Amino acid sequence: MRTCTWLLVICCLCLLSLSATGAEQTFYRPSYSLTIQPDYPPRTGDKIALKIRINGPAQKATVYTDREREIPLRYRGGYWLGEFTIPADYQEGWHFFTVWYRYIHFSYGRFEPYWTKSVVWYRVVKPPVVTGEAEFIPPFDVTREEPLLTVSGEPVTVLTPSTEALPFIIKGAKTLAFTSRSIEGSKEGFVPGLTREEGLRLNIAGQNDDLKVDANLISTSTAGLPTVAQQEDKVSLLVQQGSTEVYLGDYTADLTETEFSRLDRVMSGARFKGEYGNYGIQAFYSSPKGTAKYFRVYGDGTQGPFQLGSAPVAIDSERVIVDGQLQKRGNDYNIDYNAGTVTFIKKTIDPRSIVEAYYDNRQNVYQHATYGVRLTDRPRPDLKLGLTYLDDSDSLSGAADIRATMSQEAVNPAGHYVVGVDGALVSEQLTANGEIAYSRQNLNLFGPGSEEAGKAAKLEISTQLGPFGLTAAAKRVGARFAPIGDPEPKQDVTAGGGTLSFRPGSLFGAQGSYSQDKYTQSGIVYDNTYRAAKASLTPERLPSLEYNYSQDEQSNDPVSGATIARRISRDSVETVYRPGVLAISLKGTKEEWLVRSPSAEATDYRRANFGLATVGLEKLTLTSNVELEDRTLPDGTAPQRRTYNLNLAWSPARQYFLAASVEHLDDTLDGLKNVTDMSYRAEPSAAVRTDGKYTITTVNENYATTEVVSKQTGSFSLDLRPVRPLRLRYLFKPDFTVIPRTGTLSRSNEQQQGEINLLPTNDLALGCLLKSGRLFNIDNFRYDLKANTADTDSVLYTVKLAPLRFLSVELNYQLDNGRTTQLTSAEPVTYLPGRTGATRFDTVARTSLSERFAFDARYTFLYGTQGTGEAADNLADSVSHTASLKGTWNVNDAWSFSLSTALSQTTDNLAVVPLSYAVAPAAGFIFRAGDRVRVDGDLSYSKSFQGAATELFDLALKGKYSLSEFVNFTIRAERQVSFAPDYRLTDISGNLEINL
Amino acid sequence: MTKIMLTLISAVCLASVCLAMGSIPTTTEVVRPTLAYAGEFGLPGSGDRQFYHPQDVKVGRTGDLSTGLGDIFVADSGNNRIQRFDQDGSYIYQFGGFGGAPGQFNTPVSLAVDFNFRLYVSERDNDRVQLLDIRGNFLNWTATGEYSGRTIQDPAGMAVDVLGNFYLADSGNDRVLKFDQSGNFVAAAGGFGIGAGFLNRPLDVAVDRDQSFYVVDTGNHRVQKFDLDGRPLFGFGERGKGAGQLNEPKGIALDDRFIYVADSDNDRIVLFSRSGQYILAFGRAGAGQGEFNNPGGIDLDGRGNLYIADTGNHRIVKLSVK
Repeated sequence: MRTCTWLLVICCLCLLSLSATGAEQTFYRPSYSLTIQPDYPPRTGDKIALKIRINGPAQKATVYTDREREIPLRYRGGYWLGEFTIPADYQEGWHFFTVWYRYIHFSYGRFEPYWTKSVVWYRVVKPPVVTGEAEFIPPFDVTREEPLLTVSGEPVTVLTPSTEALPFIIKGAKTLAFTSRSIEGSKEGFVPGLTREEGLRLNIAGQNDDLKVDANLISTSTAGLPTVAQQEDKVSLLVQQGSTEVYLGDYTADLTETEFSRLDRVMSGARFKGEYGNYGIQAFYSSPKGTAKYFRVYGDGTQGPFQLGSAPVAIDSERVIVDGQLQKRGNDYNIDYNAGTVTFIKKTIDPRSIVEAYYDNRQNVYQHATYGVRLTDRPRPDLKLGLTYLDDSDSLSGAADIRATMSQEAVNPAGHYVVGVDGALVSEQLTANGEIAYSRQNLNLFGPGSEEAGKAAKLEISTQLGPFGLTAAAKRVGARFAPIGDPEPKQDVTAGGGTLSFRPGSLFGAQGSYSQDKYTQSGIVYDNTYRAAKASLTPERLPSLEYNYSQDEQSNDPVSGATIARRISRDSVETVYRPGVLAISLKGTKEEWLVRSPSAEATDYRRANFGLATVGLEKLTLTSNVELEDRTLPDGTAPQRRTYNLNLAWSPARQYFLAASVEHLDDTLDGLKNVTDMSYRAEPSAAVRTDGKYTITTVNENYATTEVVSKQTGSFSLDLRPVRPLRLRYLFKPDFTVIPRTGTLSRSNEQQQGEINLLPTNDLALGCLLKSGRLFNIDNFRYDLKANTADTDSVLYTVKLAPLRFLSVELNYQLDNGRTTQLTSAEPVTYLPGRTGATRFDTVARTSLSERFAFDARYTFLYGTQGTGEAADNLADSVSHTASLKGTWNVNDAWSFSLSTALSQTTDNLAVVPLSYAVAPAAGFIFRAGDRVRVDGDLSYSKSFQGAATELFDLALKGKYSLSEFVNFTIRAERQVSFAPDYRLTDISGNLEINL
Repeated sequence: MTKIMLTLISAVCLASVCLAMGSIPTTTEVVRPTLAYAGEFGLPGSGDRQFYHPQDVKVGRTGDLSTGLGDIFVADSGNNRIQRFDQDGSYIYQFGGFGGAPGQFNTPVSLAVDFNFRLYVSERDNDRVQLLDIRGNFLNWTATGEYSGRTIQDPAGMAVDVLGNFYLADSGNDRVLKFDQSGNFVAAAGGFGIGAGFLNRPLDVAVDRDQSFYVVDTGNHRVQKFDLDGRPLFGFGERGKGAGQLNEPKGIALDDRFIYVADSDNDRIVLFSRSGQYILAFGRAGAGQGEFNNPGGIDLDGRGNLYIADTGNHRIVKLSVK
């Protein structure tokens, strides 16, 4: 009776969906629908409107055309809306949109954004030949949409590199540097000798007619004392003409269209690609960077490092996969190629997750080559045929000699090839993919009788009949079939399965699938069965409901291969409701892991998840999630995990902003973690602005015992401008750790800052800046003892004047004071105190270098002390005066002359000879001949006394010649003649720079 | 094989370099520049992909593809950390935290990424610049302490030229400092004042490939261009809200054709020609699309996108440049 009722309901739904007529067309997918308006199928040249409704609370949606052009989308009234003009040169027939959308998923105690990608096929027709003016039908209420935010300026004339004169753009730099240093006598720290450094980073890219070139060269080398000679080169060259492409260098052989004759290893060699009408060809020849290896392990709850097993790893050769998802180097993980270790960046790898890595071990015994060719043909627009040949063999050239040198565990040269034929048919009603392949391996090229041959075949079909969808797949791989580049292939595979789906319209959808997979890998027979069912109800303005069921039967552990007879069952129910600007979701999940061998062990997970978020609001943003998880472990214990998240931001007006977020995670096994975050900003008037932030994190830390500690950090700032010339600023940054059990602080690092600035006119600024810091840490074994303290105070008074547009005067007076203590003994408690102090005054007067005569005069006074114990200045006590004056005469654009002198005197009251001084007059010139030639000359004399006298002359000449705007040659020669101590040194260096 | 290719490529390179000798040929082109809103990411907060007063954004524009070419680095100033995102704005990782130890930050306000994918981070309230690797591991102090008689105070925007020389806007001392790629101090330019060549609280700097540099002279509401000796060449902008006027500009970026300025107190991005001619202004005050709230640091990627640290709205905004 119940079955009949269901059938009746389904038939009614079918009729309703079939009887629904209209110009637009909606394509339904399990989690969203895409509507094409106003007419379907659209015609080339038509402007169509896209309307996407996503069942879940998506944060962002993006649509790309099959030419990978992004269609901008806006969120309005529960829909993502966009517009697209069908290009006039589109072929009549089927095209597709790639739909991406992002939603926030709560996983392992944190929110994580997830992107989902799917493809929607649609049909395009050519417009009929008409006379007269076509009628334009507006898509949907376009008048309510905001225009795209674009601002264009008035036409301007700009200088750009001429593509006619120089079709290729060159970027990069070539540097060649050398030094030659010699000395008569001796000077501390001076190392005579010759050094050379070369570096080249070059990219040449450009297009001439239809010829496109992109070349890269990176080369570095160093030689000479004290450097050990090193060299590293990396090159690549791409030449493209029309659809023909030739590439030399490192590349990935991305033959991934097929399963049995695929290859996506990183290679070093040459690659050729071409498309000629219906025909396509890909060919490559390369020497792989090593021997293919495979690694598989369960996560361990950490980020690694995971040892891959063989090191060193060939650079760029690895593909790291976690739970079937390909990871991206730098984003998801880092790899140490020499050590052969992978460390994950974003998150820890759950013990239930499987980490896999395909990589090349950077050691080849024999000379080795990999080459292949793939030919494709499209006899009809909906049919594609392919033929692939791959060969991955050791060379016999010199192999006998290499073999003879092996004393133990001799490795024989091997040969291996695969040939495959594949086809794909894509039509509105039916999609089919089929493939057959043959492989032959010779494990010892020296002798007969070591050959293995195998065959493989598969067929996949997918069809849509009205509301019904059907996919089916069957695969058979022979026991000796071996694909290229897979060190542990799945062999003797018998696999089959299918999916039946029913979706009569936007309201209801259901899907059931079954698959069985039996194979042998590394001598172990695996037999896995997967069943799944799904049903969803998505009414337009009511809550949606979705039920998912899956059961995964595994005969063996997928990592260790041990017999486990595991069954993983998952049931989940989820409802999503979007009343207005809110999105509400509720999900319940039950998961059971049952291992029946060698003994029965069951682990149950029960989760309930509630989410609430705002959608499309600008002034208020809210995201919240509650997840409750109960586990029943094989030992009978039942730990619980409670996670609560709330993020709230409110900005009623531009001048005000308030945000708070709370994360509470309570796991009876792993402990408690709380993060509370609050921030605000307010600008009630132009004269007042304040903002602040406070974060409290509760975690465990190790002291004499493990303590729950509260780490609190914040900032508060207040800016006042009561009248326009006066500016006041106060900044306070507390940062401390509290141990709630004892109610005491274990660490504090507090900083305060106050500033007063008075700017009565544009050319005068008066300022006062006060800074203070307080720092202490307790002794971790004695909660009542401070292990160290450091307090600092500083005040700076500033006067800045610009009495004339070309003149500037600055005066600064600064006082620094610091006090420290260091625990030296806990029984009895004793501290070693320390003090520092400094008084500094400096003044600067200067004119602009744009003037004919320019000067820069400075004077600095510094009094510094440092003491320890009871004394305030037993470590340092000195007074110094420094004055300098530099005058520049800019005669014309070519010549500039300068004269300068610097004087300093220091009295060190702790030194045996307290007084020291230095005097250093100098003269110099700069000669410029346009932008091409420049010569700098400097002659200086310096005499100083610091316990002993020094006196030297220094003559330096530096010439720079710019061969072009981007090619510079610089040579520098320096001669030092020192009378005390007695030495003469010559230092010559040259540098060639090509900056492009 | 590698040697053959090396020789081949070197020959092509040499031939190309020879072609490039002499002044590079240029042509005049009439263009109608357009800035268009292209997206945004970030919410206020301290979680992953959340910001609190982000003051700068930089894009890795050169270097090895596998190390993150095109990735986006954000100085999340209020949270005292740096966050890294890929080109789509997907979160990768973060590093930092409040403090004074190496690898910790106290109000990081600006970033620079060199071609070795090392990060310079300037901290306004620690008065220093740290050099970090791409993962945030401390490498060296780059600009810390006293240079040319003055201690660095409120360091702000930074830039790295094609040779790896590093430029820092030392805003508290009204000057720009230049260091070589080894971190050795080379020269200083500027000083407090209102005339040509003087600066008043400069907050950002951008460098051209001929090593001339543009300074956002925030307190004087203008941009100045200096040659490699620190001599002023020209300036543009004055206080105001009109065309070509600026009000406390805080960020600058360059490409081959235009100068982009974050006109912070006017809540807009202003486009100038390379000679300082005003072209257009994009944006208005607010929190919606195409609106800004005190935009700070800006940067361009190699694909015609401009990224803006929309400080007051706690987000990163992307504009496309056509």
